[in-house]
This record gives sequence, C-alpha cells and structure tokens, in this order.
Amino acid sequence: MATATYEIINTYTATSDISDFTWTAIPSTYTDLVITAYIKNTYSNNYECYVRFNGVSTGNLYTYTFVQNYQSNLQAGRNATINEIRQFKTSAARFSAHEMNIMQYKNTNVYKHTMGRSGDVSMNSVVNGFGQWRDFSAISSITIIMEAGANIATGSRFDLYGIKAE
Amino acid sequence: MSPILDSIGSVKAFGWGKILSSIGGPAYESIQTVTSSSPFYSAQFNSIPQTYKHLQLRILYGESRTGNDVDYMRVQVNGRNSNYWRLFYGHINGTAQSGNAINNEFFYSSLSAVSAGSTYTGTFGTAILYFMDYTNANKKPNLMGWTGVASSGGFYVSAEAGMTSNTANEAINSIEVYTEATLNFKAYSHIALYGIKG
Repeated sequence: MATATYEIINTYTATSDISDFTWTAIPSTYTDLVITAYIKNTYSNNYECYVRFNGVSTGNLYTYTFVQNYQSNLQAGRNATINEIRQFKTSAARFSAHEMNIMQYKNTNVYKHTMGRSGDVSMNSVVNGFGQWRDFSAISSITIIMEAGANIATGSRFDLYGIKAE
Repeated sequence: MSPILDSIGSVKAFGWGKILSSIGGPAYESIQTVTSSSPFYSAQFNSIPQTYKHLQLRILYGESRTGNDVDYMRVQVNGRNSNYWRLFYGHINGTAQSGNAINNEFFYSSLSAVSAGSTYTGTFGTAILYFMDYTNANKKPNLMGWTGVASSGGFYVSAEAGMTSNTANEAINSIEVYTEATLNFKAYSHIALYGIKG
C-alpha cells in the first residue's frame, strides 16, 4: 500500500548575516533528504555555499563533480579531494535558487552521494553538480557554510525535507 | 555565533503531507522499493497504480562487474523491447562533453552505473527520473532523466535526457530498470518508485 512520504524536517531563515549554521539530530526515519535553498551572500558574485556532513571538515573526503554554464561559458570538472561539497553557487546581487538531494543518507553500506542544481540570474549561472562523501557513516548533521570572505546574507532560507521509501 | 538547529524540533509537526492533507491529501507517496544486500538483475514495477498524475524513480545504483568501469542503466516501460524511445541527451564523461538525438532507441540509457571494482568501493551512481502524466492514454509515454556519478578516482559523469516514445499513445502500466543485459545491479543498489498526485 502506498505511503505518504515527503515531509519537512526543518526550516532555517537567516535573521542576520552569518557564516554558517548546522542542522543536528536529523531523524533516521527517512531514505533520502532534500535541501532547497534561496541564498544570497554578503560580498560578491561566485561565492560558493558549502555542505558538510557530521561535522567533518578535514581529510579531503569529499568530491564534487559539476557541469555549469557560468557567464556563457560551458564548463565541467571535478574537485576530487576537498573538504566540502561546493554545490550552492551564490551572488550578492540577488537571492538564487538551489536544490540538493542526499541519497541513502543513513545507509551504512554505501558512501554518501548528492545530486544538486543551482541557478542564479544575476551572474548568468546554472549548475548541475554531484557530490560524494567517502564515509559509510549515517548522516546525522548537516552544516551549511559560506566560502571564506563572505557570509550567508540575512533572509537566506534553507528547507530540509525527508523522503521515505516503503 | 552560528545557529545549531535541532531537527527534531516542533517544525517537523508541519510536514508537507500534513499541510496538504488539509486541502486534499498527501501529494507524494512511496509506491514500491527494490533493493538487496546481494547483486540482483532488475527492478520490476508491475501493475503500477493509475491513481497518480506523475511518477518519480529515485535511484542509487551500480553494476556488479568486478573491473573498474562505468556502464549503462536502462529503463523499459510496458514490456516494450524495440524502437520505443526517441532520446535527446546532454552528457559529460570526465571533461568530454557531448549531446545527441537518437531515434528508435530500445531503452532509456544513461552511463552512470559504476562497477564493483576496487576504485569504486562504496561508490554508486545517482538518478532521478520522472514520467509525466503517465496515465494519459492519449499521449506518448515520456521520461525526463537526471543522472550522475561523483568519484574521487576513475570515471565521473553527468547526464540529462528527455525521452518520448516513438510508438502509439498509451498509459504506463509497468517499468523495468536494469543495467546492461548481461550484468547485475551491485549489492545495496536501491530503486524506489513514488507517485505524485496532480
């Protein structure tokens, strides 16, 4: 029998300019997670808002692969060994829309994989990105952190959803 | 000071499904999931309920070959096995980009099923596929696909594809997902079908 499953877990809206925030104690009752975000930074174009899991920020355990059209230049590449997933490309001029799917976030038999898309009109940017965290641990916390030199601007909004497969 | 949010806070009580239930019921439902701790040949979804507007497949997958390689995931609908799809895709494999239109394709296919080789321990491809208005017998079946692999070594790929059937108008009643014909999904691949109401 079909089961209803696409639930909001938490919402965060920045009430001041901040460098980062963290969702903790993420329930283990879902199969996938989805982040939707509407973000502006406080400094300039092309500042990336990073995603980290379980507080891990060292060891170069993340990979980020992307295809993007940035200011009419089609680009593709990979950051093979980094300390964050660099999905959310932001500007200071306008809020921009983003989505990240975190697949099988609690499955301890697989590395953790993300699928994300971002778009920003003010800097003519669309991004299709895939991330990996090379760790078998279940994800219990997610940190969103702006690239050094800028902050997440007041009014930026982040929603965390859970999807459950039966 | 950076905010730390307890995700089990009261906000959870306002789940999407609960909000929508006040105006007509949940809009997104889990229909069926196929997964295994051992390799398996395919995921078959038969007798799909015709009570939704759209379908979505959410997939974490690889194939069981022990070499280091990336192979294709394939999708068939209604048991069709020849000349069914018209495909348009954009694709990168590493830094090489390509795009094309293909008529008379047997399957939806996407190069993102990573093997079980040592380079890809723990690594899987990801996919989200949509079948829009799938119950409408006055339209040709369609598929909108988004797939990719992030891996620190070996292949990394990304593809987006749109598909429309070449054949007569028909509703989608069954879907089968598999890798290349002689291969299995590797253990812990996970294929989940959801229904979206309109």
